[in-house]
Amino acid sequence: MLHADFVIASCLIYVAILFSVAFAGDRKARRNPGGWLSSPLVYTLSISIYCTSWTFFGAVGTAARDGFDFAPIYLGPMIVFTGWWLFLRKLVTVGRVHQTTSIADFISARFGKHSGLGALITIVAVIATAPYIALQLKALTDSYQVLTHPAGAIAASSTILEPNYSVAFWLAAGLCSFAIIFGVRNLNVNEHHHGVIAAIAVEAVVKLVALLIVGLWVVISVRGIPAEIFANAPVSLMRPADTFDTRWVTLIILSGIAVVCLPRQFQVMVVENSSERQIRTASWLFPLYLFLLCLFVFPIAIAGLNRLPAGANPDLYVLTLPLQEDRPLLALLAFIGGFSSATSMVIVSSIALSTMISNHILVPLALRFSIIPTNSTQSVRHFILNTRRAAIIFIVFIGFLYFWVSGTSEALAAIGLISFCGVAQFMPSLVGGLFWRRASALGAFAGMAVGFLLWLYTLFLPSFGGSAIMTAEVIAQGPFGLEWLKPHALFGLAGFDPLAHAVFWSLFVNTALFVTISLITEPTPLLRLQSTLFIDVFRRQTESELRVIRRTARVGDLRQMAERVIGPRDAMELFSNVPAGERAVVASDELLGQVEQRLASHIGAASARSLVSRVVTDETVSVQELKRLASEAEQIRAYSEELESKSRQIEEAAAELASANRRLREIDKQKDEFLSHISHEVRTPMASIRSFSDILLSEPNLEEERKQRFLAIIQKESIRLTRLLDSILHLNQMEKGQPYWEVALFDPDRALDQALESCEALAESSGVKLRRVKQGPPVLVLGNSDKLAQVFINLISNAIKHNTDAQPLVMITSVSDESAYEARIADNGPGIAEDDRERIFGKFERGSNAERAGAGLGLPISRQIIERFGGHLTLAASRPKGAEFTVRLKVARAPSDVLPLRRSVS
Amino acid sequence: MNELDGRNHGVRDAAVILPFAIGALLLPPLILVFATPSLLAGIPLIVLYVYGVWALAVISAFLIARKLELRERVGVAEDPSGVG
Repeated sequence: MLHADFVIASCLIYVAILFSVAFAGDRKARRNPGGWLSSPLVYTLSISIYCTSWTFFGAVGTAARDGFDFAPIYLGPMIVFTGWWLFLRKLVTVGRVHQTTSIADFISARFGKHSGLGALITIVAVIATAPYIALQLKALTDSYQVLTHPAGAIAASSTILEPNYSVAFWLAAGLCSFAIIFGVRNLNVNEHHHGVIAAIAVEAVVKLVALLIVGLWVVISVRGIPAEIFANAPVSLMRPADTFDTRWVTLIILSGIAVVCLPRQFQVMVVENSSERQIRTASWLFPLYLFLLCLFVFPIAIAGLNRLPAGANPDLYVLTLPLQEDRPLLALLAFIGGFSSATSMVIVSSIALSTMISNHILVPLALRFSIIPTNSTQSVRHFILNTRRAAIIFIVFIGFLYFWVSGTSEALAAIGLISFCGVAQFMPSLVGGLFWRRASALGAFAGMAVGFLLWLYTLFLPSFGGSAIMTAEVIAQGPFGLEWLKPHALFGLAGFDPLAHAVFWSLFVNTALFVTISLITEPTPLLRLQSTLFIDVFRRQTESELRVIRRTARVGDLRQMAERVIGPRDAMELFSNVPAGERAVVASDELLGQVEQRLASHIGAASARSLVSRVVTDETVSVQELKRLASEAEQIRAYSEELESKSRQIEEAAAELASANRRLREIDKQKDEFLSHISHEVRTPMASIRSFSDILLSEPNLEEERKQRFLAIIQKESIRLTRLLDSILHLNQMEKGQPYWEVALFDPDRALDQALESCEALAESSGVKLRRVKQGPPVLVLGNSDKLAQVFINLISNAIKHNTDAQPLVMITSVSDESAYEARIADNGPGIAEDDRERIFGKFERGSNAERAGAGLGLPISRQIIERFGGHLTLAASRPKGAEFTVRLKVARAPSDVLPLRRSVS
Repeated sequence: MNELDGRNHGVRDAAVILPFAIGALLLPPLILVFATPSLLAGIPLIVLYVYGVWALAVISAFLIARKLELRERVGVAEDPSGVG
């Protein structure tokens, strides 16, 4: 046992240290606001007020009773913080940019500065938090009584002690004075409480160090051997499968929500935040803090189970273990750790709630009933500060009262999670408000109100275990015996853990109402504007509502009002840009916006708006501007998409142009070549015609015989010229796709035989032997018989003319089947060089080793003709000797029924 | 510059995926795999698993936060659309 005076003296010294830290912090912040007080480390430590005495003492107790059941309370926040990029980053940025004063202010500002919503959130928060404060008072009183009990701590923790209410009362009074002195010193911009945060950070370190030292002492006392640490571990830990059920999932989700929605967490995390750097560091540092805090929970719990008598209260193992082993100083350290966690929670909770009560209930009421004193410039300021002081006393007193009434009942033990579920009702509106444009105030209000009532009915009231408000009979059988209204099995949903049951119903109905009503209501212009400002916070931080809302107010009125709330000095600074002597001049929209924002950072957006509205004589909302603001993001998106598709189209067009340009160049080159060929071809006969006609003209006395010869040459050359021009015309027409011949079904063999006949004379004179071979049935093709004969004549005469062999031979073979007709004209001449194989089909081209014998238009014309028939004219693959041309045509049908008689030529 | 942008997107994706990954590891059914009454070096397997995942989350969050901070120092302009 420790002497009471010694414990009290230690506590007073500790409290004195906290006071001086808070005092130094406040002074330092006034001189240098950006110093270490704004460091990410201090910020993270202040967030650790999440770990109250319920953590400090309760985690070990829960671990001793139910194994891993204690962990989800820390795993949920851990997941939320590691996922800061998704949610916390946006939440904190919006809070910082809009200088939010509390979670009630945040949600009401988002939903069109809705004052009813702010009031509802405040009421829910107070009802959910007061018992939580009572729990802290109980933990403090219990730990003090056990530590100082004359019969020894172990005996004390094994019996149910009558709480010492005078201790609780003095504790509550001390906490009130601390919160009032450092929390409501004056109206701060953005509600930053540097002194309090500094003290909270110190307390965070103290509770972590205390728990770590106790844990290390336990581990060292069993020589750090894991097998011994975990010897005789509770059954729930050795057979853990049952732990991970619906309750586990519910607790992880619920605590993840609570770490954002608890008013005190919102206060330290969002309201006190000053940079993104802070939350970025907290994303890993806070999970690390929780990890260290929970590291020795199992060793302490198992040591308590093994070493302390069976009846000892597991919730006080942290305290009683050192006493059992006769380590009073260690026990005192543990007590101070628990003291730290409880006091920091009560202080920040009461400050956060007092701001909410003052801004969302008392100031709006005072404005409505005009009871704000207006006789001096300082009066409004003092009124607001006094309402906050009163609110702190009210909250802590409610907590104390709750503790006094519930006394020794076990109702307090579970209040932490019940409180979590209560504040979790803010979550749908918070998430919807940050990410969903359509989310409406009415939806948020209805969802939250019904969720709150369901929470009251299914969890909060039954937690008293039978009282005047809800009797044990109602809990067991439902009101008026209505089974489907049983608080723990609403609508027949039985068989669930009561907490999971309540979390499900309240959050489900809350979200469903929120979404449905938001979908069917039309948002007001102000709500639409606020939703754009909140949701697009990363896109448009400088965009203000000035251009949307047009108001008229006199500068003098505005200044007078601002002075009353923020004080003359700050007001002077705010109005420093307005020239003196223009008191009656109409204030600009910009100035009005600045004043309202400044007021909002003190008394919340909703109250600030109604305060400013009192001096505003005319207000219009520019719907046009609002629409532009709301649709700007969409416009930018659509515009960039359009740009992308246009640039794609331009790229495609450029590629097409490039290839067309290439083609044009080629054609131009071909045209030049063609022209030069034609001139060449035309020039030769023209030259001889001219020279012979010159001779005939200049020498009239020429012999008749020579005259005749010259005239014959002129005629021959003219014919050659005409033929050449005819060929060019012919080729040109075919290339343009203008067939000038009649198309009919005919036997290709007849055309071949006809061509053969025509060439017989030439072959005979050249001494070339012709051989004809026929295979396959007679067939019909579609085309023009004379044209095909012309092609064959061209091919056969070429084969005859270019054959230089000693025993020249031309083989003409025709092969046919049901689908195709093929004619092959092969010679045993010199053949065609590899390089010339495609070239010879070009205009004016001749084989490189051929003598000049024609215009070089025969093969291209032939190919054009065959292609018009839908066939192919090809040069067969290289052969050792001679060349072979193949004409391949599609068969239209067998001619047997058309032409029963077949002329055979050989 | 492009390479840097690519890496930034990687970090952002990791920042988005991390909470879901940790959540999946700590919720049934995955956690039930390790909820066996076996001991590893005298410590219950489930204790090692839960604290291990916890430590992993802290380290991953630390690495991601550091990368994001580096990016800010390099001065890469904030993507105006952000996430969410």
